[in-house]
Amino acid sequence: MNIEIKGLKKTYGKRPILNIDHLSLERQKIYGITGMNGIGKTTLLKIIAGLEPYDEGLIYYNNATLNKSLMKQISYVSQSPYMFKQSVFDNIAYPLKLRKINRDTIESDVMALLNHLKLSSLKDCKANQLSAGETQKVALARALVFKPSVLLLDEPTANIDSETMMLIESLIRNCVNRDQMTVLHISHNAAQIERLCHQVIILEGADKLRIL
Amino acid sequence: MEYFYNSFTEAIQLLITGDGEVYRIVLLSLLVSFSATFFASLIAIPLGLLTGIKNFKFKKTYTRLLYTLMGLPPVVVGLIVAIMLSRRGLLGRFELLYTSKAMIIAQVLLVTPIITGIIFNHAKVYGSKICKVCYTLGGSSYDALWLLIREMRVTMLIAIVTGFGRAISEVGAVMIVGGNIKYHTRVMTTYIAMNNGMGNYAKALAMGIVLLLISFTVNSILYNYGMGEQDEY
Repeated sequence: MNIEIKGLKKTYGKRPILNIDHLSLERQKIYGITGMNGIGKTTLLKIIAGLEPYDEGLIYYNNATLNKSLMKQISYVSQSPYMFKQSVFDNIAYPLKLRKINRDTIESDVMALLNHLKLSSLKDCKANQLSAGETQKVALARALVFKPSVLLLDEPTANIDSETMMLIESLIRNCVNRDQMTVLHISHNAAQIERLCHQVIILEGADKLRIL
Repeated sequence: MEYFYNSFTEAIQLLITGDGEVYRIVLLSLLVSFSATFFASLIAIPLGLLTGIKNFKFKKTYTRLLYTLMGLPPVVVGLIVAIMLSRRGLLGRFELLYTSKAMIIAQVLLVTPIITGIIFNHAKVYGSKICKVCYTLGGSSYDALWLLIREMRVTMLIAIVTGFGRAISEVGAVMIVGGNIKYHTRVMTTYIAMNNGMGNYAKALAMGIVLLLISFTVNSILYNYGMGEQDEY
């Protein structure tokens, strides 16, 4: 999905957070977002996901403003994802159940992701009892399982070891190529951004933004 | 201590031999408290969920008011309900004063803020998070509500049990609006208070034991049904 942001303004009280004149994001590309703490990276992702209101501006998703059907194609993984009080399998299967996908497809899709992320041994474990790293992997699998058009990741590899990080990166790359996904990925890891992302958006202030 | 032991033994004997009045009182207490908890839950669960998730003007004032209402003195509630239901009161024409219905009304007023408050607190912390996860995974408002209920079912059970505990152990309001009329509005707590005043400690203690047993049984049933999950998390 192509995303175009025009004249976006967001303030918290009197403090300006975002003032983006123009930003264009193309489909099948991975964008890294970086910048200091509190600069507005998470706010930007939440606004694109439709989870946070903004003061001014317009955001176009394939030339249309956000509506219910478009929102169903956007997936967002937060810094501290909430896990349902169910098994790992059921957590990942949840978006597919919402879409009334048949049981066999759910089983095969979820198992494929579990195997890829080396989570199959945790399939029946309670998802809210996992470690921080495992939680992030399950949250990522849950966000990817329904093949969204836009994937918004807020530091998805913050608690993850380097081997698993490579697994996640390869999974994201595969999904982008296979499903023509647009990915926005917040990270403080410069090496990872260089490895994974096609372009980097550096937030340097409310109205200062650089694209590399 | 010996006196207490004798009273306790007497209380057990009273329960085993089976006193008609005692059983009638127990049944009425259960009926009143279960009904009050049921009606209070119908109001409090949606109210707690809605106000917990939504951000609205005066939410801080609402929160303070709710916390104040959670600690409502039963005698004040009893007094207000009694005035409302008295012959010259706003609802006097329904002739509900000194009936079990009046006791249910008073207990609903006492229990509703407690259930609302517990659910409100949980929904305030987790509600919006749960809803946002649901929306970002493609869920509708209906899906989010269903998910919220499912995720918060343990909290809801805790709230209901707490509310029931308040209802069944309350004495001030039911005494005022029920009048402690024998075979009519006498419940366990008013029976205990009355017998204590008359110096019949064995009878008062017997009813106290029944009250504790009922509370334990209700909690055990609900614990097995869902609250046991709480330990896992």
